[in-house]
Amino acid sequence: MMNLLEIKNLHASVDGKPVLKGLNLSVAPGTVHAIMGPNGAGKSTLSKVIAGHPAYEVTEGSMEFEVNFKMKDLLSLEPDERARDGVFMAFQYPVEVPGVSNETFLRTAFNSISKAQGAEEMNEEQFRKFLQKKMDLVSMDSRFLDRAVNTGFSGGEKKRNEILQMAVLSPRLAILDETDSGLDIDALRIVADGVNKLKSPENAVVLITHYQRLLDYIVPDYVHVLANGRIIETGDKSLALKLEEKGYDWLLQ
Amino acid sequence: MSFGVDQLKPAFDGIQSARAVPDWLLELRSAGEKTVLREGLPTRSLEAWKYTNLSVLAEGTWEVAEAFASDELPPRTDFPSWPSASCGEVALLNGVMVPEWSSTPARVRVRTSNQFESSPVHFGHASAHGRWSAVTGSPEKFVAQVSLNASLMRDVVVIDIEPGTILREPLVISTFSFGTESLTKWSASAPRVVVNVPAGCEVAIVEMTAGEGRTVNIPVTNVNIAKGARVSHARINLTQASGVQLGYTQISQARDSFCETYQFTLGGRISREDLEIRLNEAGAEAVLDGLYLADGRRHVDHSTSVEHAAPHTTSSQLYKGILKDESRAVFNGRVRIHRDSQQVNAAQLNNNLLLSKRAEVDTKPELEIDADDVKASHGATIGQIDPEHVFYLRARAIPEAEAIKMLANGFAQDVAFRIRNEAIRKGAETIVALKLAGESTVTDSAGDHHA
Repeated sequence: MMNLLEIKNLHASVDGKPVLKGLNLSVAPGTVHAIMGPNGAGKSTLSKVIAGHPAYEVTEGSMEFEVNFKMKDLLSLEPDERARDGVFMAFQYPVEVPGVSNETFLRTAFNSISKAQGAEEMNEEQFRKFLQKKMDLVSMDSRFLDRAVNTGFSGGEKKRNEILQMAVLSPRLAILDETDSGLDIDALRIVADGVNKLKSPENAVVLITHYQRLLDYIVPDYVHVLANGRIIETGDKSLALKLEEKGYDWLLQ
Repeated sequence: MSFGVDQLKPAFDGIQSARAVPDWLLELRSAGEKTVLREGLPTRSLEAWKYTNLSVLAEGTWEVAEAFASDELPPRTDFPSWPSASCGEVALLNGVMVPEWSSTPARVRVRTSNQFESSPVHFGHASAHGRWSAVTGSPEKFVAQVSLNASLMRDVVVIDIEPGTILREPLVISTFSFGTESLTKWSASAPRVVVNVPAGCEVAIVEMTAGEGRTVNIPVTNVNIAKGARVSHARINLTQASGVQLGYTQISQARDSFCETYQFTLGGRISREDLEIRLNEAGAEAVLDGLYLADGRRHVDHSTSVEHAAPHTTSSQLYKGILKDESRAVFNGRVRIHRDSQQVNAAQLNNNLLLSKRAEVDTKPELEIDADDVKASHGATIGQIDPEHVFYLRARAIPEAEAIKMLANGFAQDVAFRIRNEAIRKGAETIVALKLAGESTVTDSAGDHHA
């Protein structure tokens, strides 16, 4: 079976400083991957490079993404093109956008994807109905729709809003960059439930996390350890428990 | 000889022959004229006009804009209309009320100067330092717009609201000016409006100002808010790019009153808007926000002044601007906290978005604090659109150009979003959206758009 994402020997720098140094990662449809690792290992850089952040420069290697049963060079695509092809990153620090209502933002994003896929765009009324179902997934009430995007949201509300965006855009590859950080157990459950309900045999999830706790709720098929810009260890969910218990030092020797 | 006086004189001669007005108004006018002859047009040597050059107003002689007979009125559709719900309209053209374009709601009384025998017009409230003057403005500082307005005043419109009135939908006060197309002339008009809001009222008021042609519109408005009254107010400047507006608004507030006021300065070759808020008694609270959009070589200048003349008073202001091309903006925010005005809260913020390297902003806070137990803050930013914000939207499939447009629009609409009064908020959002989409004016659905 064709992989959804294929990263080979990826090197990336930010401000001229190398962060990723020969990273390999294959993600098959229907799988959940967790990426763990010490601070500064390059976890957030990896998610930003996949999403296409312009401040990160890829200096070597390849990154391909399956679109219509063909592997497509992701690195040559703009961030919005990647999103339209089904790549989604939940931000570690979601941006506040004053003056733009959450609903307008979600509808604009949704319709950009519909348009790219040749599907009919939804009008306000149709979209509101569709949205209501997605809101229920993350236990958000409609007050959030009239508010400006993330503006004045609590940390937990921002993270739930990211999952709502994911639910609305139904990506084929979702990268969750520390979506669990700073969440209390109730918010964590809501986020995890949302992700679990969106899982399917066609899509894949990559969880970037510091905490094993998230993996009690979203069970990964693979756990990777990212250190010094490379994946240095891959295992199943038991690896996360071992990391929780022993830390990373035993792997870095 | 003071600057611009020669060019102004024909307008003074012109107003002499205007229709009969009561003696008290003639006296006000001649006191205004005397002041203008002495002071001239403001120049950049004055601190309050340091960044705004009015020399263009001395390029051409001034004429007093015509007072139209009812059968000679230009079409109403030549001027902007309020695009949201309203409870009535008081329209002035060239400083004179137009009954044909006006409709007064119940519990509101509208009178013009001829209905006052002696000068019963109570313009603005007295302050600790003296009376607000209809000729020179505040006792603390001379206001050029007020004397210019007085010198060219054709009429005064006094709006009295009955005590205890609730107007959820705004009363629209339209002050339009319509003038010459001649490049060697300026048509000046000086609308003067006084709104009295007594105790127990909760009212919404929108002022729409617009000029057609080479106009100098000098609208001066006083809003007097009595004990415990609540006012939502917006002033929307849609003057054509050929016109100049020199506006002044004074809002004075008594005990426990609340006023939210929003300035949307969206037009004019030069637009200067002064807003003075007097928090005269304890418990008074004011929110003063503003938005300016400028492009081409347009110049916008806002000067706010908040007088905390009593303890336990609160003010917060947020002015935002988007500048394109070679446009220029000035923001001067004065906050004065008087001695013994303890437990005062005053916040001020001015955020500017520059979409061109040639655009320029001068922003200056001016805090004068004579009390010790107060909270006062100010801040200003001048910047471009944050690339992290653009990336966030692009990561949600929104193309770059659309993302930038959404962010700029959001930056602007943030001001309209804050309006508590729903009808004003909706109208302001519509007007701002049309402006951002490149429409130059907002007119009746039947009307045409002007370039």
